[in-house]
Amino acid sequence: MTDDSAAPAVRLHGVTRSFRRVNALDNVTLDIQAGAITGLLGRNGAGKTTLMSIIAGHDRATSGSVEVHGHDPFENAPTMAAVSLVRDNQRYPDSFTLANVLTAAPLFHKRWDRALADELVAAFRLPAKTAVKKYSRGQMSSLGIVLGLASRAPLTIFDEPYLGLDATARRFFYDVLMRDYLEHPRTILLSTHLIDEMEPLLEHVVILEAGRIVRAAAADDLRGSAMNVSGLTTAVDALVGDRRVLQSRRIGALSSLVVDGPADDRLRSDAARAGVEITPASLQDLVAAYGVDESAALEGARS
Amino acid sequence: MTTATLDRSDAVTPLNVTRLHFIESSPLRAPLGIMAVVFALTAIIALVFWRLGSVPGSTVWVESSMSNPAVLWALPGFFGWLGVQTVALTFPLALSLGSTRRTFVLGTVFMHVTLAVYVTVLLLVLLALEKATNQWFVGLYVTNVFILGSGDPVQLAATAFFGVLLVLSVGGAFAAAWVRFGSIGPTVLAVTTVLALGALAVLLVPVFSSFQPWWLVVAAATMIALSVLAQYLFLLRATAR
Repeated sequence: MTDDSAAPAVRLHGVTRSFRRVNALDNVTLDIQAGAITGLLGRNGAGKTTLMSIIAGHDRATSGSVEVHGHDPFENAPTMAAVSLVRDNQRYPDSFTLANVLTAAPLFHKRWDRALADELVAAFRLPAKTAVKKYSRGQMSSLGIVLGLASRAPLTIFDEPYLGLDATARRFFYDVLMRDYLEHPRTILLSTHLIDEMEPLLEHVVILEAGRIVRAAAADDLRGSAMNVSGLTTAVDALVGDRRVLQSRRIGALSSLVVDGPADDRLRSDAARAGVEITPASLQDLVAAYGVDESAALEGARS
Repeated sequence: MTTATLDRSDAVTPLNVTRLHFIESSPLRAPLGIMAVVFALTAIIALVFWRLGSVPGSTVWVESSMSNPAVLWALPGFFGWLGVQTVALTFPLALSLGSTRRTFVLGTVFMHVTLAVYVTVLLLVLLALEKATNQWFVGLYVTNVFILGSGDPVQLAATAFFGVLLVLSVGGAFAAAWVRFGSIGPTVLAVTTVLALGALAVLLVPVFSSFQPWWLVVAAATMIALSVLAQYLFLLRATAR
């Protein structure tokens, strides 16, 4: 029995995953802190699901090394048993009902919490008699949340767990996730496109783009790491100068840029004099900015 | 903040996977239903022949009745489907619940063996009843048929056990090929298997005259072993679908 509280829960070094000639992941080096909630952000096709599959031992890297709790998870029985990853398109045996799934899960997860599972099933109003394969998109997501949260797996991974859920159900999920995480601390990794909505949950953030890590930092550090600069194009360009532009949008004579780095007092006073508005970039702004080809953004900024 | 307390005893075992397969009881219920249908169809056909003038217990009646292949047509279809389902649909769930591929294949083999034993016992009980009731009192032949060993319980047991296990294992191998390679996987596997078996049959023509029934047991055991190996090798590099 080991206690890895000091070491990262997940350690990836130079991980590449190729599908034919396409690199879904390209030389990814990353540590995921133990005992924290980490958000995996990025556009569709950025490599989030591939990364989570490799961490869970569901897939194997083409090259590079993967360690989960100090061991390569692929075909390592104790390590894989300590991970829960229910995929967004999870398949179940044809005739499986909710009761079948809830009977199966404790066989595999020794820390399974039946009371929590029952609470979630009731709150999500999951139908008991309908075959799981006939569940709606939202009900499938709810079942995935039940399996993930009630497993109490030391490393719990959620792949876009909110798909098809209404706002009330999503809010309930966030509340229970935080409550249960505080009562039973563990490492949680979740991918999401609902960044603004889930941002308060995240302690660490990893931004993936085109199979590469573009940012990995504490959420608080990342929130202040860039700024939105908007106003007349001439004034904005003069103010930004040589600073690194992550994203550029121009409409007529107006520009709105996402610029790397925080705003200092001098920049703020210059902006006020020039009639340019500066606001901190949100995580959503950052993900959107990194999702744009950087050279195109720079090109746009200069044009 | 403590998070990871890994323990070998937490690892998923093959028995966990076997229990997962049996959580839904249809693998055990369906053979009973299928045998009931086989029994009913056999009775209806016998009734038709009796109405046409055949005499129960006559040499022609016994010869024709013992040629009844209903069990052969009824059971393999279900077990082929079940073999596919136990891999294609249960594998992604087992993986998500923390099983390794090796554990999953072992647990699935245990499930297939358990089911083969169950069906063998079921058919042996039916054979015993059939004999004890002098062919169900009216000259019906359901399990006392040529294809199941003409009433020999040893031949019936060998045929049922290896037959069921073979169909389940081959179904599992084809499902694993689908999980690994998509729709092209089963097609390539089928073509390869047919060509290999065809070539083997041609090679064995000279020894056909000295054929012994136990060759079939060896052939079935070999095919089962190859199918299980194929399942593992295909699933080893498969991404859950």
